[in-house]
Amino acid sequence: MGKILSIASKEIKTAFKDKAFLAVALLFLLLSILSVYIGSATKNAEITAYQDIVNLLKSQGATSIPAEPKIFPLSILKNIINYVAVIGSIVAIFLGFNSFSEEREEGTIKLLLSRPIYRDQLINGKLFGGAFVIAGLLIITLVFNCFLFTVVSGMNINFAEFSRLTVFFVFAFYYMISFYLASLFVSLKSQNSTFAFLLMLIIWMGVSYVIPQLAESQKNYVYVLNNISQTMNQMPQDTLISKTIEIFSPTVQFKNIGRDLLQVVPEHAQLSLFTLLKLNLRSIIYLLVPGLFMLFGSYNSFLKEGN
Amino acid sequence: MSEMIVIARKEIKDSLNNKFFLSILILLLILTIVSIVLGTLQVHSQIAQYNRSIEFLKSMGKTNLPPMPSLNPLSVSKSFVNYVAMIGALLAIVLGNYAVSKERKNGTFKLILSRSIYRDQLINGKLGGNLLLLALINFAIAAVTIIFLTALGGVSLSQADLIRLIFFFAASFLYMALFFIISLFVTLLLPYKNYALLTVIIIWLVFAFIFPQIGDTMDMDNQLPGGFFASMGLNRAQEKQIVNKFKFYETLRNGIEELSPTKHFERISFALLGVKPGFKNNTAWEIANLKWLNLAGLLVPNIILSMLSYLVFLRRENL
Repeated sequence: MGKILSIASKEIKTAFKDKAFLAVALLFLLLSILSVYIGSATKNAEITAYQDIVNLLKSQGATSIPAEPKIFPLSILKNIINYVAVIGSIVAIFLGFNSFSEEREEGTIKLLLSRPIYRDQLINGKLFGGAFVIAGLLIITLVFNCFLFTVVSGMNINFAEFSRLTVFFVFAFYYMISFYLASLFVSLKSQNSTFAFLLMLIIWMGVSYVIPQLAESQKNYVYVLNNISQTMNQMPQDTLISKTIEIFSPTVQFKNIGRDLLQVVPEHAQLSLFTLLKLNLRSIIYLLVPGLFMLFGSYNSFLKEGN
Repeated sequence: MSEMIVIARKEIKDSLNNKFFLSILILLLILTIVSIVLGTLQVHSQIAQYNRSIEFLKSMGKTNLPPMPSLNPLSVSKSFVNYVAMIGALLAIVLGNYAVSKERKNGTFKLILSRSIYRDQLINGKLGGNLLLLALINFAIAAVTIIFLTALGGVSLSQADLIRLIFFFAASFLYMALFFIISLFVTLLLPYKNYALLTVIIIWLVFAFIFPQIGDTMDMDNQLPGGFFASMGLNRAQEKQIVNKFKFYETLRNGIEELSPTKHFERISFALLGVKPGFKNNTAWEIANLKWLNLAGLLVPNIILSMLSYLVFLRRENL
């Protein structure tokens, strides 16, 4: 265990000395803080918009006034879902892309393995180090978010909502770790850290943008008639093809789970955490599988590698 | 001039021998085809869906029927704009980095400059060769788009559509050229290859993802719950009246988006391809005039960064 911790601690030190990683991590923290401000400001905008609508309808002589929109506290933090999905995954890639390829390029991997250390200890150490850095970043984000949320929005969250938020951060951790594991795997397989980095960027683009867009393009847009205004609106509707395409994107699965946990979907906003997790079971499995696959792939590859 | 042509030709040959560059290029071409195929299928499905909805509404006795969805054949390339914005930019970044890092790695900068060749000829050759390659890539993608649109979509493009496509690929070239020049400049400036690449990627992330993402999260349409105005029973005109009250917020959001070349590219492309409504009756020239700010947003940084690259390359002692 001592050796694993030594390697983990070296990984953490290396991460905090890496200017590029620090820049991306800082960007992630700034954006997560900004997201609370934007969320609070826009929720206030929603209330103002409602007041304006009431005034407008009254001035036009309307007798039927719509009910005030219900605001769920966690939905104020909803922007964090996108920032974790996009920037969080990049942070994990910056952390893991040169874990092994750099050691290989500098010849330190042979040196390390010539010491009394097993291969599984080395990979476990790197994994723990990466996990610690990611967990640290997310804990800082969670604390900042809770603090700013209370200060800026003036709202408080109850225990159930705090549990939802904590579970969301657990999924965020797993999502980021999946990208870290993928980077570790690519780094193991690649002889060159530049190649590993660019390949991971392509994978990231595919998983985070290309697949979701392909799925989006296959949704049906049905016409819905509004009862009050009698206007027609287009509503997206999942199709079998769009749902099948989405399976291949952990980003989509993470966003689906995140939206439910952070009360973005009003119909699910007051369900118990257990019911919510049960409802999202399929998305959770689709999110878990790629990470586990990468973990086994990395172990298998490193333990059996000849050179 | 002949020295420049020799260097330009060598740049193109080197890039075409770079497996990673070729892989990204093939990926971009495949995604172009996939986006056209899926876009075409989607348009056909939307028309069928529309017809079914109309039948249903008519059977209910409704007279206020929604308009026919846009059948603009170019709009099926909507996803393609995003692929150029992401993969096209990455392709250009790899080219820019490779143009300098390969010479550094092999120590050939010093060797080339020990021959009877000036520094400006060398950088002109590199710029010329790589920009020509980017132009050829755009030309190839344009050809693939037109062939697949005609063959699969079953649409015949009018002369106006073709001109719009040409303008779109010109904008796409400018966008890719910008990331090539950023990458070239940063790699010339920073001596370590990996560090330069990581720096350019961070710049790319900020301009292509973070600024648009901030703009997107500040967008009233995204912040208010889906169908908020509709649920309040407002029509489009009333909705606009309310949204107008948040002018400052919109100005700030727009200001953040204006900082992003990706947004400039997206705005001009969506107008040219007819993805964004309101430009249906304009010619490509008129759209270019209307979107001059977006065009300038792509052109001006290209010129400034090219000049800075010259400056760094001509004055730097250790290349």
